[in-house]
Amino acid sequence: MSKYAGLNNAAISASQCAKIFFLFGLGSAALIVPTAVTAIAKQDAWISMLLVGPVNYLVMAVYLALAERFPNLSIAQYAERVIGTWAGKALTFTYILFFLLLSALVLRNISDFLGLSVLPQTPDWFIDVTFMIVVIYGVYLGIETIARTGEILFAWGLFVVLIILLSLLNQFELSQFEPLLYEGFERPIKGVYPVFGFPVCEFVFITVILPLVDKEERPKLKRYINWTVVLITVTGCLLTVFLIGVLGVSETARSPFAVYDMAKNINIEEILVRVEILVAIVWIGTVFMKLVLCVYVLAVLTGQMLNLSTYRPLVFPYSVLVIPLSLIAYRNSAHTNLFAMGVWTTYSAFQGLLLPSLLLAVAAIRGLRDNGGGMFPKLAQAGGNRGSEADKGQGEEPSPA
Amino acid sequence: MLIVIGISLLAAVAGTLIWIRNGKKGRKRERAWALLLLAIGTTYAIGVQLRLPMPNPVDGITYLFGPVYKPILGWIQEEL
Repeated sequence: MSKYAGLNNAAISASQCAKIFFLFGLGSAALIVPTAVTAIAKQDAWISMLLVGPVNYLVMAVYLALAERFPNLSIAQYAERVIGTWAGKALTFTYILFFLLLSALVLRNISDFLGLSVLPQTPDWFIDVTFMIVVIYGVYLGIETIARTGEILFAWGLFVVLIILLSLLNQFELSQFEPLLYEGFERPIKGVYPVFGFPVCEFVFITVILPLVDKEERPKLKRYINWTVVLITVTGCLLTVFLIGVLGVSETARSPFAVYDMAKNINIEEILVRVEILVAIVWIGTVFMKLVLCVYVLAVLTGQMLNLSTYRPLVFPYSVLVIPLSLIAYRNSAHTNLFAMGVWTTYSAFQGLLLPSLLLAVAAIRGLRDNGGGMFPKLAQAGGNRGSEADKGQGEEPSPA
Repeated sequence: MLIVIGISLLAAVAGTLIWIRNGKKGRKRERAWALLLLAIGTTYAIGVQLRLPMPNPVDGITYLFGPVYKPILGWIQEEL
C-alpha cells in the first residue's frame, strides 16, 4: 500500500471509478427496490427497470457536465465558486445532512437484513457496531483502498449474480408475465418513481469521486460511466425479470428481500441447494461499498466545507453519529415503506438532481469554468495555507481534457 | 445502563486519541471539529439508548417534503 494512500490527494483509475459506481448502484437497491417496483408495476416491473436506464443516463449527464466544467473540484468546492462562499457552504451542508441520513439508512438496511434472515437473535446495535468498525477502517485508508476493494467485489458480484440467474433457469415461467402491458405504459412509468430516488439520484456521491480520477484517465471516464449505467440497467432488469419469472408478482411484491428469497428456490437435482447465502455475502459486500462511499463522501464534504487539511479525524465521530441514527430512523416496516419508497425519492431528487442542475445552469449562465486544483492542501501546509490559498497555488494546472 | 457507560468510555478513549493524534501535527482546527462531532454523536447515542425523545431527521424530511411527495404518491397508488 502506498504511504499516502489514505490522504485525500490520492488518485484512482477510470475503471475503478466505474466499478465503485456500479457497486454503489447495486448496493442496497438490488435486494430491496424490485419489491417496490413490482408492487407498483406488477408483471411489467421489468419495463420500469428498463425505463430507468435513460433517466439514469440523464442524471449522470448533469454530473458529467459539472465535472467537465470543474474537473478538479468536488461539488462542495465548485458550489462555493458558482454561488458564492457562504451560499456554497450552505449548499454543502445540505449534502452533509443528505449523506449522513443516507449512511444511517444503508446501515439500517444491513441490520434489518441480517436481523431478519441470518442473525435473528443478535441485537441490531451489535450488528451496526461490528459493521461500522470495518467501514471506519476502510474510509480511514482512503479512496485508493476503497477502489481496490471495489475491483475485487465487482468481479465477485457479477459472478454470483450470473450463477444465481443461470441456476434459476429451470424454474422460470414465462406465463408469470401475462398479461403484458394490460394497463398500457402507465404502471411501468409509475414504477420508475422508487428507483429514481433509490438509487439513481443518490449517484450524486460521484461528484466527490470524479475529481479524484487520475488526470490521464479522464478522457476514458465518460465512456466507462455510460457503460456502467448500461450495466446497472441490465442487471436491475435481469434481476426483476427473474424475480417475476420465478417467484411471481404477488410473492415478489410481499417479500422484503426478494432476491434473497428467490435464491432460496435454487435446486438443481437436489445437488445445488441452499446457496442463498452467496446472495447474502455478495449483498453485504456491495452494501459495504455503498456505506464506505457514503461515509467517505460525508467526511470529505465536511472537510472541504470547513477548509480542513484532512478528513480523517472526522470519520470516527461521524460513525458514532450514524449508528444511533440508523437505530431510530424507522419505527416499523410501514414507516420504512412510506419513507424509503415515497418520501426519499423526492428528497433524493432534490439533492441529487435539482440542486446540481441549478448549479450547472448558474455556472453555464455565468460562463464559469475552473481547471484549478481542488484537492486538500498537503499536510505540511496545514498550519498556514488552508483551503482556497492552497487551491490558488494549483490553479494554473492545465485542463486534463 | 451498561451500554451507556460503554458508549461514554469509548467516546472518552476516542476523544483522547483524536486530541493526541491531531494536537502534535498542528491540526488544532481538525481536532476541534472532530471533538465537537464526537460530542454530538455521543450525546445522541446516549439519548437513544436512554429512550429520550431525540430528534429524528426522517420525521423532519417527511414533514418538509410532504407537499411534494403526497400528490405523487397519491397518483402512483390510485387503483393499485
